Amino acid sequence: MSEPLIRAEGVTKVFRQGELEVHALRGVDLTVGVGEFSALAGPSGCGKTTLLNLIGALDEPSGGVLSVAGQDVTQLARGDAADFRLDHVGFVFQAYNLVPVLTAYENAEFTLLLRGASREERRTVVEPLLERVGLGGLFERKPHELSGGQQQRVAVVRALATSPSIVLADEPTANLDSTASAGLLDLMLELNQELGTTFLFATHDELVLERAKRVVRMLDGRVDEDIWD
Amino acid sequence: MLPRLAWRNLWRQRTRTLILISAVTFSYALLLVAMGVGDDSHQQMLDAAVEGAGGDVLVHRDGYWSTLAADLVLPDGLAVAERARGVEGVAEAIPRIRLPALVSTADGARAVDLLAVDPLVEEALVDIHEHLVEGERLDATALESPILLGIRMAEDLETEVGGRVVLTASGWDGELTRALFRVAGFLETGIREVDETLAYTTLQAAWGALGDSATVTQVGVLVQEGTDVEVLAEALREGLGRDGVPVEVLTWRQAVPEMVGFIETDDAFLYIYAAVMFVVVAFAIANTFLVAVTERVREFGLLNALGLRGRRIGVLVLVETAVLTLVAVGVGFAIALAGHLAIDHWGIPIAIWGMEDMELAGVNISDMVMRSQITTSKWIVATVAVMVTTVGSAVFAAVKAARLVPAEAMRFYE
Amino acid sequence: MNLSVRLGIRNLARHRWRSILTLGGVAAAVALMVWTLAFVDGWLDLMVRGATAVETGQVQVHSRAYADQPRVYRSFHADDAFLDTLTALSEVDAAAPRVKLAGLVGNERTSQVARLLGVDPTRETETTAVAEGVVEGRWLSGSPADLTRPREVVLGRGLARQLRVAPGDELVVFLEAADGSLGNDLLQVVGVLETGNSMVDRGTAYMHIEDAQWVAALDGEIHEVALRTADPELAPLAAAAVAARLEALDGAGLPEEEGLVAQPWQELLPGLSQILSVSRESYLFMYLMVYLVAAVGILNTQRMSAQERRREFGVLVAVGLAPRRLLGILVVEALVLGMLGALAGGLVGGVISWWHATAGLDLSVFTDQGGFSYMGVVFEGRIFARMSAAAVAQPVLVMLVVAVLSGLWPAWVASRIEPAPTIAGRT
Repeated sequence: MSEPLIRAEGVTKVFRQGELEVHALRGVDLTVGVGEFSALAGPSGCGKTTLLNLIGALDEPSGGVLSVAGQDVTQLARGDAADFRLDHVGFVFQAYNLVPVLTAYENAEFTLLLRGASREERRTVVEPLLERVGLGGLFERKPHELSGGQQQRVAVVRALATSPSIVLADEPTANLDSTASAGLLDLMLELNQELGTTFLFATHDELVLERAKRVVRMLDGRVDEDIWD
Repeated sequence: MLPRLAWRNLWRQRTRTLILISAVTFSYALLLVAMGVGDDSHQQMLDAAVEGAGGDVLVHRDGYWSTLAADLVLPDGLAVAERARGVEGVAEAIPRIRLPALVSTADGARAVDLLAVDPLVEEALVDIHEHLVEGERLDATALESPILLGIRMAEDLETEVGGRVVLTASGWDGELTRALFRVAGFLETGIREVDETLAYTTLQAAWGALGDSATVTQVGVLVQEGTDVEVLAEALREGLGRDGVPVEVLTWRQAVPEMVGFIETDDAFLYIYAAVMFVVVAFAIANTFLVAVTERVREFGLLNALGLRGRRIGVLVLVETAVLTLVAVGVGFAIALAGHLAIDHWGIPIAIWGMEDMELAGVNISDMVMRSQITTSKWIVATVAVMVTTVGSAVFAAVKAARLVPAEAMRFYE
Repeated sequence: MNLSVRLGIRNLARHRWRSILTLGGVAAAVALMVWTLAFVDGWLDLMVRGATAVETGQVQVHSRAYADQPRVYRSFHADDAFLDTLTALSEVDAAAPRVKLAGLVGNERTSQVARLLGVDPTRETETTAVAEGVVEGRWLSGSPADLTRPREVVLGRGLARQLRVAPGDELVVFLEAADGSLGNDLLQVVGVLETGNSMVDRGTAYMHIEDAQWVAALDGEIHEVALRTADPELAPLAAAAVAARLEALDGAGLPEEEGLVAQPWQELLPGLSQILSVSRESYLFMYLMVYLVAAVGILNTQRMSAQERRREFGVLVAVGLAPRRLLGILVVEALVLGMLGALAGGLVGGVISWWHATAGLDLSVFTDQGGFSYMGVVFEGRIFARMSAAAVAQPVLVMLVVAVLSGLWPAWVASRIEPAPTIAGRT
């Protein structure tokens, strides 16, 4: 078997809050393969968001081994971390995904722009994707002129535009009603199948867990259960 | 409760509050110090002008000051001075003769502004021997018809102490008179124009040359501390104008209008700058409060939901500004006071800006050292203006905060 | 359009009130500086003009001894040919010969000490603006009055007032002549001057140069030649050119140590020259004060704006925006803000300055005394600002630098953002 996309061994993370030490992760072992559609689940404070952030190189682990797409992400400089994310990771967050002053189209092409792609290159990638997620005709809308579900779809397009190795989605449905949530998740699942992009969620939304092929339940900073569908 | 809430709110956004306070403090302190230094320089200029003119209030033959005509004299000047001394509020009345004249030696002639004075009486206004660099005092010399000359003129004329000079002037009757004087000493003020034209003699010597013993051209009146110059001038007009020759009584404001004009213009420019600076500061403050309100919609929504009326939320914002202003004004005042005391103690010589001599409204000012002076009324006006500007600039934000409805406020993103 | 600029402009537009208030502050500061520069330039022009154009001229030629210490007998010979040699220089527009005397002028009532200037009326009018200052009567006629009549004299207003004379009245002059004798002559007032130069207005009397030479026993010799140049700023260059020409003329026939010297007004009026340079340096102080306050405004706005948008920045950094790029975006935003404010301020300041340059600024608004005199120049009525491209451009450009500098710190702080805790809302 080839190298997994994500390999975590004994990953720990300690936050210091003044005098207090908070052990967010107490030794996580986890591998994620290419093409998975998996979810990290568990109650608030179990460490799922922390783990997601470590994988996305938004934060550094306190200990352990963590490689993503064959790259050690435990000690990246700020600039290198940004480059790594640009090359390998797509993000969809719960809120504040979009730049308020940019249009839907401009938000979607943002990461490609950062990569220095030409106008034409950006258009050939972003336009079909936006059409695909059902936003044809809404290109020029500003985020506040879009519904919550539509905003998240723009975020998904932005995450996929750079053809990342993995899309990390932290509670992407938390601010949506159930219809919008179901629509968004079905779309992500379809994209997973069509494009083969790996998706990793952090959530406690049942709708997500129903669709995930694998659910990793976490408790108190450790992997508690690892259930394959 | 509002002030306490306001106080805590201010310190929750420490950096912002500090920036705001420092902006107000800085401009306020700068204004006060600028006013202090300005008022003091103006006072010095006025003192120089009063010294040049001859007193706080001047008594002449009617029409003399605008013409300086040598024939417009006070024939019984000593009596006029004596009567002036009897007027309530007069500290001293100094009789003197101002005479445009020509001083000549074998090496040439120089135009001078001759002042004939009683050195001891003159001391109440100025010590004429302050700049004596060579020779003897007028009141100590044994020479007959002594004269003190500006050093540059003396050098030009190649005279020496004890030497003779001929004075040519028109006498009281308009006839040209020539008289012999003996050089008692040299004066050096450091101001070129003055050192070229300055000459002092005694009243006795002048009378000897001009043939009289009581006539003067001017009686310079010094007022007692705290006396209103205008009122005193009126009293002098009453007391001196009734008999004898017609006299004119001028206050220093009337005597040196050009200096007063300069000072008023200079002040006006200071106020223009202060006003624009405060507009700039007011914009910055209005802005900050506006942002603070937007940022705190949820908090205001909560207060509103808890039953605090919209109007009181607006008041809360204003109270916050008022607290901030008080702190800023307090600190600014302390800084300005320290600056005032420091400048007043050490002084700033204007020579550090490369300026030495200055000619203003015909008055020469040399090597001025700027100090500071508090004009209470001006400081109070400035303080009130700052407070009104600052609190006023928060009104917009306060109105906006008061208009927020709770539901809308809570719905605001975050 | 560049991404940074696009983001900057849209963010500023999004917070319209905030941007307008900051812009207003910046604009007020820039407008004040534009007006200050235009006004001080106009004021300095007036000073230079008042001090040089009326009487001094821009360059003067004297004998070396006279320049060192003026004496009535330290004169030199200068005929029309000599003056034409000087005006032939490209730097010199006109030349006026003068005799300078001091004497008593008076009548049976009173007398006053006066500076007496013997001038060639035509050449004087070409060189200085003194004749434009005639407020009563007329300027000296083209040639001296015939010998049966009193000599013509034009008095400064102060002198005329002190002597209580008007055109038509007669006066007597007494003075020390070059040979040590006492010269005197009968004068008739033909005109009264009010020029704005206090030395001229207070105590100067102009007469025909031939008359002055006669009364002072100067035998056709003069004390100085005043020269007019096009640009007062370039007077030192003109003086150097004149000096070179004088050298070539072999000191106008005088012995080496008695040769002629040419001095620009900057040397002749050192006090004024000092004041001018001080006034120019005081710009720096003004910039410091006014722009410091404006900078605090920009800094404050940008800091708050960044604080408010930190989640947005967190997401941007998370999806791969390099911190350095974020810094760039925010600095550009501050620059755009400063630029818009500076342009608005340049416009407002420019319009006000233009207005004060054409209509003038009435001093009586500030003081009911109507004016004042400073360094020998009378400021009365209206003062005109001087508009120039530099007076508008400089404050605008300096503001751009200030905007970038004051945007730098908030931008740097914002770019140090930690994406993970920011997005999670833990900061």
